[in-house]
Amino acid sequence: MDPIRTPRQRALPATVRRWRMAALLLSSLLLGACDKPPLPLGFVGGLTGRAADLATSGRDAVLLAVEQVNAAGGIGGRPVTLVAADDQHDPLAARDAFQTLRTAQVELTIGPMTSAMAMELVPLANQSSMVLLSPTVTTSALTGLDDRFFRVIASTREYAIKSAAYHAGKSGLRRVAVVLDEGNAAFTERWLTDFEAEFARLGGTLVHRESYRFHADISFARLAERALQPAPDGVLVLASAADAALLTQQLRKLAPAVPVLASEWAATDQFVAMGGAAVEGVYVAQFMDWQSEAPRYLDFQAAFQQRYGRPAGFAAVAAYDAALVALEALRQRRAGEDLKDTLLRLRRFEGLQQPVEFDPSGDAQRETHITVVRGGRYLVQP
Amino acid sequence: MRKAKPRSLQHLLIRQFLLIAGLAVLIMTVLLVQWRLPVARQQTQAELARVADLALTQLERSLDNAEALTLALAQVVQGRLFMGRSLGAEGDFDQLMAQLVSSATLFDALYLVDDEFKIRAVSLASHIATPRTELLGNDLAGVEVLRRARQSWGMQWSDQFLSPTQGVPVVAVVVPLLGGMVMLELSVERLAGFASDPALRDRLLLLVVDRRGELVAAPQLEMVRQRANVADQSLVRAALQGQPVFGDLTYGGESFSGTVRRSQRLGWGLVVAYPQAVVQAPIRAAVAISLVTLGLALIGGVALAVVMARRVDRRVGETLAYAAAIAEGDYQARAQPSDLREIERINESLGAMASTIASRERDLASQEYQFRQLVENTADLVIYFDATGTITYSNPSADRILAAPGQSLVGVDVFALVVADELDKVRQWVVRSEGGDRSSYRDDTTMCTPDGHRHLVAWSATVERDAQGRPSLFRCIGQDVTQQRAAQEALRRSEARMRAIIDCSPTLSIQWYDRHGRVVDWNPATEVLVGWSREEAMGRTLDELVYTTRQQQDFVGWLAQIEQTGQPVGPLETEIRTRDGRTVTVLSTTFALPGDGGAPLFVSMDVDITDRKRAEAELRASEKRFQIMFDANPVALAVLRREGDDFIYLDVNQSWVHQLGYSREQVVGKRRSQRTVLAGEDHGDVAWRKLLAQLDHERMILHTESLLRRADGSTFISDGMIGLIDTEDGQLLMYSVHDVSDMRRMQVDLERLNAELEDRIVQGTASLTQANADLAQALRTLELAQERMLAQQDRLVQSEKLASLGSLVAGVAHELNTPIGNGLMAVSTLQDRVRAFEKKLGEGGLRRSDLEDFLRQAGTGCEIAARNIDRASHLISSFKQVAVDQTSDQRRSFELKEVVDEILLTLQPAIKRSGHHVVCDVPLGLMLDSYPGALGQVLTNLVQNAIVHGLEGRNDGRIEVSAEVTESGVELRVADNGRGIPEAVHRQVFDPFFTTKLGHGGSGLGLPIVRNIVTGALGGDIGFHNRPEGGVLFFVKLPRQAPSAPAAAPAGDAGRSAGNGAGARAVVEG
Repeated sequence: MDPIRTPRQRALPATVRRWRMAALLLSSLLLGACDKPPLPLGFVGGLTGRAADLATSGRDAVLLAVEQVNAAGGIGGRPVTLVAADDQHDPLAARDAFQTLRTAQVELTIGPMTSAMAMELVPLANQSSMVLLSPTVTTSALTGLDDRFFRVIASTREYAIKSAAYHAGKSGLRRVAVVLDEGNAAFTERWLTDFEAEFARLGGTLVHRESYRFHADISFARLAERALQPAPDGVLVLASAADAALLTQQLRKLAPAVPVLASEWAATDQFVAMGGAAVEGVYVAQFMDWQSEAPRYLDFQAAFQQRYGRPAGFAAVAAYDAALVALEALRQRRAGEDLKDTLLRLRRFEGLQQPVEFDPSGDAQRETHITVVRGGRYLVQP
Repeated sequence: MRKAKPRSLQHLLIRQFLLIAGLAVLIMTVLLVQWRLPVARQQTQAELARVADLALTQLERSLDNAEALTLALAQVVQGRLFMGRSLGAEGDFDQLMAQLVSSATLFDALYLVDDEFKIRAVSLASHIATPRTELLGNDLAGVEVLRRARQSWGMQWSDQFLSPTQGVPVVAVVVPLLGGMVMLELSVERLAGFASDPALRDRLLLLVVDRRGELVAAPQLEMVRQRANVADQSLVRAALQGQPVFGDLTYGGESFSGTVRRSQRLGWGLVVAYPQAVVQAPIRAAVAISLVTLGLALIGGVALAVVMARRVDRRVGETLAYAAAIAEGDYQARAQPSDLREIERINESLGAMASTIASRERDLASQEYQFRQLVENTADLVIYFDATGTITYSNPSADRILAAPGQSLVGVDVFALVVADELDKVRQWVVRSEGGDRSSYRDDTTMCTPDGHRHLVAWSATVERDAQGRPSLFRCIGQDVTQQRAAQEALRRSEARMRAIIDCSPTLSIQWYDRHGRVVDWNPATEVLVGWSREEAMGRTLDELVYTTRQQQDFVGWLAQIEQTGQPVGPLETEIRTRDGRTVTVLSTTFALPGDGGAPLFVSMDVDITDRKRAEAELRASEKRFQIMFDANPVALAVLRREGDDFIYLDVNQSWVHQLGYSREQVVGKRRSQRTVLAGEDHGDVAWRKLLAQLDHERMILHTESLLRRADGSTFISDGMIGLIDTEDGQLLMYSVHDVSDMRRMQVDLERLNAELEDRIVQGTASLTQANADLAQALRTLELAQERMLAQQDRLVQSEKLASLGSLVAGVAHELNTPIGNGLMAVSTLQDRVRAFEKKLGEGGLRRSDLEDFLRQAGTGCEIAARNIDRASHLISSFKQVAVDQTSDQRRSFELKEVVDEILLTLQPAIKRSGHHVVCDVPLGLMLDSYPGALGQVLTNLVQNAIVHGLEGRNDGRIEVSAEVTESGVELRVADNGRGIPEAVHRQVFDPFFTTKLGHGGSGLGLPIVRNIVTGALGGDIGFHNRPEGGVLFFVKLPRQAPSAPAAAPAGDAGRSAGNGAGARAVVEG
């Protein structure tokens, strides 16, 4: 399947184009009301601000999926339009964004991309007819709830435990300092709690905890300095890609040999772009297998590269999976059926690298991989 | 073919108006699309192109400052590096950077990066709060533009990317140095400000995208911040490929039309577009105006059409009402005057039509009346009956003929009128008609009236059918042909009779020919005449049968003439060749009859006139002979015809000419009174009248003396015979001239001598003796002349006998023809039967019945042949006897009946021709010893006399020949029922040369000869008397035994008897 819309044929004779234009005009004048109305699909995420890379990648992937389904004729003959809203990673903006989506008659929204926003928006969704389908929100706070929130990913608990097991085991870390972004506490705190419990169980110790909330004159150098104060044998960074990269830059300047560990939140290409050589050797948990040979995944990567001129990261892959689920649900929806029921009825969907299978509370399972940055790329660790 | 439902005129006019309006709209639309819209579009595109060029210039100029600053700094840094300073090692460099940044608001961050991509120096715009020093040493190896600049060793512009220090979208320009790079970051807000420049026209969309299609500048800053990628738009892709095309663009959910440019320096694309609503505003306006115009035109057109159509409809409606009035028969209706010329003309035409129709209806009514009269008064029968056979109409003729008197046939079952025998035929036809058979009925049918009369009617019937094709009415017209058929039957029988007559006619030969002269048919008489049978002649031309080639050509010529003129040809005498080589003369008349196939059929009717011709020829020869004898007669003879008291010379003979010296031409045709040659002339009228009176009384004076004058004026005394002969043409006077002048002179001399004797008695008697001698001599001379004349008369009688014999021969020959022909035919038929029998015998298919048939036919044929040959033999012997008798004057003993029968037999042809009927009543056993030839001649002459004189002009005469024994012998009687003999000529009947037919075949010698023979050779008497019932009866009294001394020639007797004149023993009874 060619995911790219074929460019319009420009070589048509002028007369044909003229008449086509006239016909178009007439049809818009006389028959415009007869076109089937578009089917709105929502997206919400922090499209601007320091965590924008996660949301823009997700949005781009969803947009690609929408463009592909429209090129194939839409759903039931109706074209799908993507209504993208920017929550700016801010609770107030998130509410505005939700209102925007409601106004646009959106019933199913891909997003949000971060747990903090999810905690803000899920109560709103539960009070409405909208279903939220998040690609990346992993907070355990929403696990097992019968709400209008779905996700194509597991909770932080599974990932944190796995990372803890890896670093406690293979890396042999025992004393770990942690720097976390409180702006996304729903993720970072949960992730850290689950990590700490497992890490402690495996004999590790959190020697220092450094929390921050981003502001314009924040000093990552100072945060690095404090994290390295107790001389840990590893620093765990629970922040967005940009913050994690800048923090890693400072950590490398102060202690080039101390291993740095990053959560899935930072596992974007932005992390590598901003970290440069400084992020070489950093351990990053990943929701995707960068070395996957799955045909659907390879097709998607090619299409994404073609469309946007860059590779698709985990956010894009997860968002694309979420978009596939959303579009399939819209396609399979029965008349008058609540989309939540549709999703639960269908339950299992095809994904790029693995199937998406919801449990009754709308959560799915997704493998995580521990990768190491090598030469600007993520290498999956066995 | 289905007929389209007719539409109203109003409908038609409205449709035409709408059609015109629609055509105008169509033309307008074509103009709009082909001309107006392209022009508007070109204007828009030109505007867009102008704006796009302007925007591209402005974009590049706005980046020029950043480039210039970066290059300048790069030159400074490079210069210091060349002077041995290291990057970031000097504080003054930092100061320089700080000065640059603080003094300019052209960038957001400025980095000095070493070859290891480590930040060596950095300058941040005043609004960025990030601690500057914290950034030093940060690794920027992940920044793509730096890597690109390092590789290319040239200034590079980046795409939009997240600032490696701020994490916000920026673009950067990098200038590589020897030992490092200078990178200048520009926030997208700055570029977005360019895109929303108010200097640009209202509602203009200006987009700047980087090489990946991400927005670098746009009127909506958040779109840039959100790094929206619009590479899905084909127009954007065209921009990035450097194609300055025009096209459509969807942006922010709105449609635009615009054009693109590509910055060669940056590799970025620039989109300039107007919302389609703006671009298409003039086009929409044009379309809207067109639609409004169309709508108005349609509404106006419909309204106008309705009004016009109603007006026209109203005017036409008046005419329609007028036409409807005419159609309903109101020919007096008047049209409303109209202001439309066409309507006026229609009204005029309708008026003319109405008057024409009225006239025609009157004619039709008249015709119907005429037709009714015709049907009612015709003699033909007219009947209508319906499918059940019940008569619904009958005309008076039908009622009169077929119905009970005074009643009508209406309501009567038609089948009850048909006789039972023919009922099936009629019913079958009716049934066939119901089955769809379209044939009309034409046949003769016998109809039966209630009172039992039968009429044969020739019917002609036609069938009228209803809409379902079933017969509803039968129309029959018939003609009572009962009498006609009877007449036809009579005609047919008449034709058959005619045919039988034609076929049985023994003498009238009839042939039919086609126009080429080929024989179509001929009757048995023709077969007898020519000897060719009908079957042989059929299809052949006459030159193959009886004609010469020349005759045939003439014949065909006549046929053509007949066909052309329609007039018959003939009667013509023609000589034909019979099959046995004889030449026969026929008198034929040919005429044309219409033949069967339209070609005329020519009928030729022939009568064999060979015998008549021969008789005529003989008569002519006889007359000629008589003329010769008349001329050669030494006695001068003259014949005159009496006209009152005068006479006209008919002829004189040579002797007369010689004696009197006049030429024949001088005399013939002249009146006696004009000449003085006749005796008595000199004696004056008194003497002549006395002579005539004596002649009228005595008819003949044998000696009368007259003084005649010759041509030279000399006169002489004639002692001649003079007689009056009564003929049909009047009285003839015949006289002979005998110059007795010498005798008289001798008598005078004698008297004078006597006187002289007396004197001589005195003087002597010697000379007296001499005178006696002279006298005797003169007397002898006179007697001699007398004898010569009588001898001449004998020869004349003899030749008459021969002529009679000739006709006898011809008659017998003809009579022979029939028995011999019959015998021949019987024999030849028998021959054919024998051949056929032999053939059948040879084939082995002989049956007993064949043998019996053959024997019966052979017996019949032989019997016929024998009977006919016997008859021929009998005829020949009779003829032989007659011939011998008549030529030999043989005396023998004979049976009177036989001789009479034979004679009558020889006369049969003449009798048949004349049409008279001869009855013979001679008893058997009357034996005579006499001269049968003479007797035959007597009987022949008497019968011919009856035919020629007594029964002249009739063809139904009856001639009775009978004989009776008397005391003295036998009395033979020949009687006819003709006109009898006038009393006046009874005395002259037996006079020679007395005839009523002089010049018409009568010789005047027939009865004198008869009397001569009877009183001469036969020794009997002859006499006659008119019968009370009409006609004359001659009776011949004959002794049983003829007187002896038959040596005396009968002719001589006759001559003497004639000479004795009144002394003859002929008896004329009252």
